[in-house]
Amino acid sequence: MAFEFDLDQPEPVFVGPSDYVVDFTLGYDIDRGERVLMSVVLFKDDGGGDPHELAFGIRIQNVVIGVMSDYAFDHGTVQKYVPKGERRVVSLLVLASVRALITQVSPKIVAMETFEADLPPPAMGKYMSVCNHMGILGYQMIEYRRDGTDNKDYWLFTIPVVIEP
Amino acid sequence: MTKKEIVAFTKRIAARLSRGEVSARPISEKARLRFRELARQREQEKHEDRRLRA
Repeated sequence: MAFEFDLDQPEPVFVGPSDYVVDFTLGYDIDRGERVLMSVVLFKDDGGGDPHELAFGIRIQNVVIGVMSDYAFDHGTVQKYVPKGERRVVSLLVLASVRALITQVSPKIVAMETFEADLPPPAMGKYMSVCNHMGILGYQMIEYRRDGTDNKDYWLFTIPVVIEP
Repeated sequence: MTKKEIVAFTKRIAARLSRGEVSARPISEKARLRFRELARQREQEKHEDRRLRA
């Protein structure tokens, strides 16, 4: 039997040496002994600076030995593991995970970029939702651009500096 | 922080991703139990299917 969608709630924030991660299960492949999960991650700057990069992608974990695959950020993987009728609820869980990460880490600068180049407007919806959510969390979008060299979209958010009277 | 520094930062992250340097926690007990439960259900279904075909 192939992959079976079996959504679960986001897990608590995991603090790694170079990132913060919130995972939630999308489902399981019983025959292959795998759990498929959505991971929302806030990467630390290994250069020691303040900026963090926000990303979300799908990973596959071996249930027996726990080994985790690299991230898949492409649309094809989403289509494979998230049924069309479930995309909205998965998007809401991604936003809840973003909220958990941002609230816990409180980064001053957050960058975000698309994995794929030349994304058409319908495919930008999830990024727009994250942008709106960053606004709700008190962040200001100070830059948005589609880069002329790689045709990917880039966003930059920051916490506005409050000047005491 | 300058635009150049931000670009350098995102490139460093991209390089880390391409090297597979992303943290992973051990699988949770809840997920492990759910997997076992689903596996048990699938086995039961297969068994039932074989019984009906016999």
